[in-house]
Amino acid sequence: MLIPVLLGVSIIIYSIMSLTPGDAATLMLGDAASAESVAKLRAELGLDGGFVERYVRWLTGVLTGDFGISYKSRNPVFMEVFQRFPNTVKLALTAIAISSIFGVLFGILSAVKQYTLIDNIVVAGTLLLSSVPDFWLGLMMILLFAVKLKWLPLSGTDHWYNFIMPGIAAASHYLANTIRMTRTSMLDVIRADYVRTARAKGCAERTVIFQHALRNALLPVVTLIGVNMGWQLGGTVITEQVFAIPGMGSLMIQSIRQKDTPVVLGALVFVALLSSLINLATDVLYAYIDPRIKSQYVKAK
Amino acid sequence: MSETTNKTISDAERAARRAKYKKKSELKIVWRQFKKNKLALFGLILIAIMVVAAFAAPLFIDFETDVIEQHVLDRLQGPSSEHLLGTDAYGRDILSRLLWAARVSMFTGFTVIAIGIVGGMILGATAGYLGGVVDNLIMRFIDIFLAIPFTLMAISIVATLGNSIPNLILALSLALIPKFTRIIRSSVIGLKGQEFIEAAKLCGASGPVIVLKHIIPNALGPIIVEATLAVARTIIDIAGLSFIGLGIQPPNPEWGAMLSEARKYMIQYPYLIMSPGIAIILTAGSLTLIGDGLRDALDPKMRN
Repeated sequence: MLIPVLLGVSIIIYSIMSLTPGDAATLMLGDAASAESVAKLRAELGLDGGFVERYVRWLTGVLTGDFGISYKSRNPVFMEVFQRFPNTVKLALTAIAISSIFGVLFGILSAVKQYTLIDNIVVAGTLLLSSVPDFWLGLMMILLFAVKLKWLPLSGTDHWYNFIMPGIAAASHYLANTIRMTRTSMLDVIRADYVRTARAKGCAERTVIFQHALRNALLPVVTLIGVNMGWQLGGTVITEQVFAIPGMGSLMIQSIRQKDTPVVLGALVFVALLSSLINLATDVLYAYIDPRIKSQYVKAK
Repeated sequence: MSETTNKTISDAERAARRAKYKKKSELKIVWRQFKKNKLALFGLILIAIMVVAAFAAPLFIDFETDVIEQHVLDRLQGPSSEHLLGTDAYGRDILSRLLWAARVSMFTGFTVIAIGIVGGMILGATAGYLGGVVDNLIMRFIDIFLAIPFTLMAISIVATLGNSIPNLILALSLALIPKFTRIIRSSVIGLKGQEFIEAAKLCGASGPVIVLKHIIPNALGPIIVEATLAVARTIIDIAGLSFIGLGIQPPNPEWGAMLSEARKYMIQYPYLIMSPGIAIILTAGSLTLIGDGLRDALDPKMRN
């Protein structure tokens, strides 16, 4: 399933990129360049030949680990992507950690204390978080924490605390989703018969919530976190722009503007591959959390 | 005995009874349920006010002189009685620009959702109703689209096709179609086996008629809920894309584009970035409240 999806992704993006007007060789040499030198550069960049021919040539390169050469910097695409990649991963991981940890915590809290003041505050906060545009939240945090209180630096990527504000901004929407999902799922489970049984046999409230209810309630949340993780890798583009983080997002926007097709393609296939792998990992993790699924696989053998 | 009592009921009484039953039509029940939810009602009123204000904007705001034209002498003035929300770096009245931006955002948002729903209905209903190879093909195609993170997809489309409202609509609706396809497909599959569909088939109704007249109306609930929430999300996304310079272009007013322009001055003049952000939050927030309210109102489990 992984391979056809990736092939499809690359075909779609390749078509979009090549259907658009504007020729990379002309763009690089300027309008004044002679037709001859343009043709020469085109051959050099592998731009000659029909659409299918070019695509197949690119694909065979990718299969041997060669993502092509950036039109702009003439560096291998793989290197370009890899230079920017760590920043995006750091940001995405910070955001995922924030949204998962606080999402599950607040979700449980709000479900256990349903209809109390705490629950209402959490629900209202969730609504606010899901309606706030992440880039605006970023700007407001810059104003408050970087400009006014001077607690955190405006931008930069050298220290872990550089990623606090971008992480919160990128997490905001996912955090709201995780809280909602955990709360709903917990509320469903808390009313289940086996939770009543656990209470009836005299389990401590803490054991009931964490041992009996939470393990069952977490299943849909794990899926959500897995999906979020894949999306976060590509979803940090706007946050990267707010905090001037040199990551994949800024690389892509820049490359698209310069019609640097190999870099755009390389970055997109890279992100798509990663998010598919994360989804796969989520499925495996699922089996560990839910013994019912594990037993299915054992039987199938 | 019941027969005799039945006969004694006058026509007037019967009419009254009929009216009583009519009152219980699905829509009325949903509305009554929805009204109980004070927050959702609040969201609805808020959105109604904003829609009216956006529609009426041309009556008291002139696009050329109020929204676009620059008044250098009035630049960067804080809120006053003349300019309720102040003026921006080009001396333009922020309130007028916000209102005009609401028109742009709402128009784009609702168009995107409309295209997303229609596209999702065509693909989802075809996949769900026909099943088999067609279902497999369509759903694999959808999987491919879902493997590309949405923002990257939208950015590549807008950036390569050029910055314009139609391209923005195309990019955002392409991202929504997979979502609606999945929702509609699963409701179609759920409804397909039911007796009233069998009955329609036996009456000789063709596939498209069954889907359009019998299946879609019964699957509308979750679609409407998702659509309301998706409008909220789309309005945020439009602002986000415009913020990084890929959506609606200045000097045209748009909340995200306004924030992007105001960013340079935000440290000295924080009020510049306040109002567009709050406008987005109010719009998206009230749409979310309505969506949640509708979800509860449509859920039979919540009705007692």
